[in-house]
Amino acid sequence: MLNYIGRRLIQMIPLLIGISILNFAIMHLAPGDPIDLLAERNATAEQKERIKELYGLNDPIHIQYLRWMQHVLKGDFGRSFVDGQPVMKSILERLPYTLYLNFLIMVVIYVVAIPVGIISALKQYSKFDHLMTSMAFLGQAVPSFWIGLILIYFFGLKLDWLPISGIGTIGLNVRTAGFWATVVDRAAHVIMPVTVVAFGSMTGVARYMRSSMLEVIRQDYVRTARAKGLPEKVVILKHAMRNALLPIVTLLGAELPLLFGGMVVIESIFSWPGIGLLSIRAIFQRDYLIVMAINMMGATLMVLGNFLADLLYVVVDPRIKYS
Amino acid sequence: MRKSLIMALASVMILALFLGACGPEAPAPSGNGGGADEPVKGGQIVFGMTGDPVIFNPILSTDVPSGNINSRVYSALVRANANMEPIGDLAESWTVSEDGLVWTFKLKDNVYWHDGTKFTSADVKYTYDAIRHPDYLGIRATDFKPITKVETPDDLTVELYLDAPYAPILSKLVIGIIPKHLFETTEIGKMKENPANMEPIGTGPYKFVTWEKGQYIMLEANENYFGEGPYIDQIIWKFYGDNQVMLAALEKGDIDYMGAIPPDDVARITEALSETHEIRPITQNGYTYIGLKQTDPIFKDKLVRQALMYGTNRKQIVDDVLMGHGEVVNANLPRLSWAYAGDELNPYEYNPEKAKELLDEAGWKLGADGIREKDGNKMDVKLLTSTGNKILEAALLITQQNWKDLGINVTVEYIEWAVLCEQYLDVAKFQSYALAWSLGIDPDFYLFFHSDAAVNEKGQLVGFNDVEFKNDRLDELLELGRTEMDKDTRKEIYVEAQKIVNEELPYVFLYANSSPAVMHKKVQGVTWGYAGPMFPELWWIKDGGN
Amino acid sequence: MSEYLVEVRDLKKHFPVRGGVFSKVRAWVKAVDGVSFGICPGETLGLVGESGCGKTTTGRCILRLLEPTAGEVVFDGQDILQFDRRQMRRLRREMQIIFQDPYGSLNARMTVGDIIGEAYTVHGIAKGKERAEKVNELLEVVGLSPYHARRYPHEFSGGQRQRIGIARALALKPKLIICDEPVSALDVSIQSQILNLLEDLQEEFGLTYLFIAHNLSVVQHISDRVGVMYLGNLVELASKDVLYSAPKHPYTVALLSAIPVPDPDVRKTKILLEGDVPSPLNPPSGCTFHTRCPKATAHCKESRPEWREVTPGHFVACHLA
Repeated sequence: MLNYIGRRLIQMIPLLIGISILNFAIMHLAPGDPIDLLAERNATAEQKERIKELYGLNDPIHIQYLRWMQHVLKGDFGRSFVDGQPVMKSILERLPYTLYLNFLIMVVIYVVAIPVGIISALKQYSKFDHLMTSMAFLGQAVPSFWIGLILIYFFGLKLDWLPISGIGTIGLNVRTAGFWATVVDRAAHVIMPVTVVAFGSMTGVARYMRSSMLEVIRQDYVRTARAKGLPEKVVILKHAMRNALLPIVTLLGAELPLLFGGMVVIESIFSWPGIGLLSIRAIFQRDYLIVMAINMMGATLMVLGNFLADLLYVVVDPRIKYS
Repeated sequence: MRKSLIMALASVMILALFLGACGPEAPAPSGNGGGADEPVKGGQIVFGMTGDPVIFNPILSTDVPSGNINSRVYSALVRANANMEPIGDLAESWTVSEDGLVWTFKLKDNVYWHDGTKFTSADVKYTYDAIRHPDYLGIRATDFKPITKVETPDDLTVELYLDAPYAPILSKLVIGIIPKHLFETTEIGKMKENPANMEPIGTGPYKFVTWEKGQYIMLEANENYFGEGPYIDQIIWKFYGDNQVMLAALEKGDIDYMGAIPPDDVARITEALSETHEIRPITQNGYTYIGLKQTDPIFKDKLVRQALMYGTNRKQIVDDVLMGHGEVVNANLPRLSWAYAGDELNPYEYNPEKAKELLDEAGWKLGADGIREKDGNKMDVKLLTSTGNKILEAALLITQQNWKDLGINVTVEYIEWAVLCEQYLDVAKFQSYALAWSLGIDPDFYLFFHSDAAVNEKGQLVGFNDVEFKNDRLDELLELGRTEMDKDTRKEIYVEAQKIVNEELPYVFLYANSSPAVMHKKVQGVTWGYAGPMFPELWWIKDGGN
Repeated sequence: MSEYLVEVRDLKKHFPVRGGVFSKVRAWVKAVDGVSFGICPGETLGLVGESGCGKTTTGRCILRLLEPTAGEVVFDGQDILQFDRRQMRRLRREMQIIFQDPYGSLNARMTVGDIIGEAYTVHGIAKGKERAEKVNELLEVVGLSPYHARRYPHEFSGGQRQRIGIARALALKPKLIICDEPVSALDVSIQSQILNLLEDLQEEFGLTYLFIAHNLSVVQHISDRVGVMYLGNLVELASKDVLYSAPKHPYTVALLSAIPVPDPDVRKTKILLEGDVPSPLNPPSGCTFHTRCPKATAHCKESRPEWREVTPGHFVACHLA
């Protein structure tokens, strides 16, 4: 097993290098140049050359790549062309908010979607099941910005129950308002974004859980469990659900990168200071180093997430062994 | 497993409590009641902003949000008054030599940086020299090109030496002065990396307090400001990623000011907020246009360009797309400019019949397929524009239909900004494109339409004249306008220049919008000028915010 | 009547067919449509038919793993279809099932010991060390070893798994075991081992079997009596000797002719049934077999044959018998 883990970890290195090369190449080969955006529109070619030189963009692309890699290995992701700030600093300023939001979203999704999926499966074709199916279609079909604006309009503006945007009231914190007031304030700010994203995504997990559960409850070992005379609760919770959760648990592993993923639309609507707006701005401005850093973080997490999912299989399914 | 999940949840919630917990406390309002017309100190004003600022350094920043903050934190030698005329800021007074080659500025005494250091002429020299440095990475170098030397005979005097008389120079000196003592430690080429860009120290009426990225920026009153004011204690810009949400925030009272209300929402907002808010149209200092490559086989003919002006229902664009919040423009200077030619311009009222006559006259005859042709060439036009501007998109739909009615086949291509710049605009390679200009305060437009500001013999774009417009009389006028110091004479020059532009049409001029801005009535003492509400250091909150 | 351990009377199971956006019930599949038979204590009743004939459904209905649509299942003199959940759970000790698929019927995430022993815990019979001992005994009874208890099902071969399934079924010492094609999924070489094991266990524990299979050759060996099902109905039921030597129903005859004969010198006319089994969604009129019956008459198309006893103990549903 340790052998396997070690081997997998080593295999990741060439994979990530490959991804980074592709990433770098795509960024640099794509049309659009940061210098054209940074320089004056009427800058002369000489001036642009000079700027390129200052930013180290004049060297052949492979030299640029190697220099970038060299710095990255030392933990230095460089500085933004646009604001001159260290790339890592810009990312770390926003990452906690992205993590915070995504974590809550994921918890809500799983805490709600798993029981919903199970009940839908057990009561297949019931009113509840139909309602959930309709909600699933709705959740997938209705764009999140629309739901977001509707929520803001009703709960933020008309009913005035919730703050409409941001992560908290400016100036309100544990020091100024006390612990519980701060908890309430932060929670009030996070409810709508979590609801909107969770609504759009949980239907997928619920449907997944439902079909997984439906498949499982038709298995002979569930009949076996019933034939043993187990109470229905035990049959469902112990025999059926645990097996139906297998694919869900591993899905969780694969979703690890999503925890770090920015959500441009939600961040725009709710003025959430996450990583999504940073990356979209960096892309539009061709701020390569920021885009590279975010992409590489994403790729690394994706690779790690897949690895984690594979490891989770071993934990939850005795049939799977790696050597 | 269950327990650890709850623990994890709890720790995330607690983490969340401290995110942003380091923000400053809301200050207790100071200041005392006082009469309704007397400025009082105290209170807070909250602005909405749609983009995060980039950098708090006036010589490096290029975006509007950064500019808004920089203009409060930093002072410049001069600034513009409500009518776009330069007035002193850090400069007490100035004189210009007979030959127009040396400008001498006397600086105000008793000006201190926010960190307590005394402001001197060395700071001005440092700032201007940085802009003129070959390694300078901003976009102001052209503005300072006429300056050959900056001298500081003493701490309160600055001399600018020019290579030729240059009337618009004052309009270029509205750029904020940065503190030499904080920036001189960094090479010019690496100025962006200086930490003072993120925690700016200026001489302006407001001091920087904090910037929570993607959330808000907070400034507080500079008690040692050299001029009158400031009265309001605290200024906050809250970030909104979406205009509709910002509107909701305005209605809810989360913000006190929002500029540029989208045309579709103006009626609703006016109805909802006119009791409590001041609603003022802010006419754009600029305009939206379609640039026509003057060397293009289709557009090289003046008759064709005029036909397009007659044949584009610009009034309909203003009425239907801008919902009346804007005006048709016929030349390149804004109504607000003191050099505006106004009535003397041909208004090119919508007249498709006249347009068709002009096209016929130009030899473009209607083909069997409804598309005009001449010498076997079809009247096919490719029109480029940038993605992401809903209003412009709607305007171009109308334009496209209008032109089609004339027998011109228009293909509109939406291109991402970075690509549009690199592959088309910066290399001046296009047939036509639609964009907008934001203008400065001086009427000089040498860079836009002088033939020397077009493409040079190496194929490089020198100025903004990417349509390669060339008119000898206009060249003459634009050169004259730069060297003539007398305002009235300059006005005459620019009126004639506008008439030429209006007649010769390097562009199809479309519109200038005037979206309303909304300000809560509790904010008093606001000067509404060309740039919207101006001189924030003189504003005050009714009853000091109590 | 009371001579039967379990008696099935006019058992029906109809499944809904759904369709459309709101999953409305569009039609009913009559998987089992009025089946009656009884099994005496200690007896093995073979139940044979092609796939889809309703034999497995019948078996599951007896155990109430599926809820029958109509009919009675009388076990030890009581109609168990009237039982509530608690009574049913207690009844589980008396009736067990062995499934066809030795892979799908064992929970992959549980050890063999847990699979077999779980029933002890649930019914409060034994736990801890005592349970482990009982499990070990059972493993030995079915020809496995005690150390196997710690392993997971996937570590076993198909035959071994079926032994685990049998051990699990035996755990509660039931009176009736429904063997739902217990050897169909196994290698031919393993099949006889399992069949022998089942026979030995019957003898040792006095078990009663309902042995479901899809061909007559498997049940010939193990059954006392054999019933043949076609499209949700029993078509013939007789003691093994009678059924195999003097079948009355053309379908039985056809099935018998399909049994491979080991001796090549024995010549038999193999009757090939034409066409496919009709859909139980839309079963043929009259005798449901008439569409494929070589001897069908006009009468067969119109009238449904009665289930009658042609000779003592020999039931058949055919106009021609």
